[in-house]
Amino acid sequence: MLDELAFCYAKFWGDKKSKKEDKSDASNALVEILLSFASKPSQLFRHMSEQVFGVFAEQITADGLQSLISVSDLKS
Amino acid sequence: MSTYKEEKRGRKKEFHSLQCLDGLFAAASSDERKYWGFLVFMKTLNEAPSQFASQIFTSNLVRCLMNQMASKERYLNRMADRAALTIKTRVEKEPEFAAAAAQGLMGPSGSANFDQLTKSTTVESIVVQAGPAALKSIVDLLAGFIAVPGTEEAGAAASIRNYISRLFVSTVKARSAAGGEFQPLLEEILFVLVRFAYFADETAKPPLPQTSQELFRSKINLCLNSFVHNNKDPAGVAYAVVRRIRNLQNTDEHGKFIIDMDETISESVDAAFKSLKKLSSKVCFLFNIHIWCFLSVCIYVSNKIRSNTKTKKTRASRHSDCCTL
Repeated sequence: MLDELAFCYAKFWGDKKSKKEDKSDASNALVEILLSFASKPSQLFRHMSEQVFGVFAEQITADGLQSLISVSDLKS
Repeated sequence: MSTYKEEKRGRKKEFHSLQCLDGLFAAASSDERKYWGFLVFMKTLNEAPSQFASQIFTSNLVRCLMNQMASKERYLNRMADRAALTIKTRVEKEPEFAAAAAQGLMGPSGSANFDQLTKSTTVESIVVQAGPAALKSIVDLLAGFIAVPGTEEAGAAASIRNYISRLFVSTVKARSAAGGEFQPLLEEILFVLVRFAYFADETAKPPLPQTSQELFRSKINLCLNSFVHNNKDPAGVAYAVVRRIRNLQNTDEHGKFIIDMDETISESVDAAFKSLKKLSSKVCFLFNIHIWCFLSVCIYVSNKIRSNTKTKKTRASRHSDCCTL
């Protein structure tokens, strides 16, 4: 998971020449990490995923939104 | 010279008063004398200056207080409860008195698990209301009890350590929104928990078992949760905690780091710290450092790093975890 976070960090802030596709990959990876945090029983992980999601919400791609929707669909 | 003589006379008078008060609570004293003793105790707490009031927790008094509070059947139980309430009231009015009260109830005259023995929340109330200077001294006192709980019996030692970790969590919950002078003290609480959660501290007698260390790690998570929930700048605390773990790991100041990490995980952790360091040096903290500190510290404290046989989850499997909410 740390490696994936490092990937996200590099794409969002590290490399100024990152392509749009790379940034959307990083956004999707971050959404999945946050979804996995949201599923943990620990309140800390859940609160954290909420806060982080709020900051990155504007960078979520269609694929990321689809991941979120598919979770809600399965729950219902 | 006359001022010195007056001071000396005053101190003698105080000493004599304390000896008399302690005498009222002697084991052989009647219930009536102990009742008088509680009246004097409460009057002193309500009216005396803190320099004198802080010395009032004599050994006979505290022993009697604990015995009478321990059971509703005791003849002076209600009086003892009133006395405990008077201590709490004094601390409410004068938060810096908490240090003397905590030392009095838990120190040599009292017991590290005062609240458990008396089935009350006296010490907890005192600790969460402590002022900054008092809290500093209380944190040191409680850290000492974690290291040396005063018993060699494993179950009793674990119970005391568990209780003190709960005191720490209650204090952080109560003060995490305060910020200011309390922030470094709350960090100090987290550093104490880190010391015993992640390192085989040789000063701990008896040594902390794995269950206690796991408990302390969960308490760190609870404290961080309070900061995320209540604090405007939780990232600073989170980063301080992770940095502390890292520094202690490098120096072995509190013993060997208990978490085994294979080379792959160590490399990932090293890279994460390099990123954190870059982020922390940037002028615009904004939200960036929040995100990465949180994510990194949560992973660092996560129990998953402990396992040498940790399986690397693929994105698909994490997605399916989430779908089973």
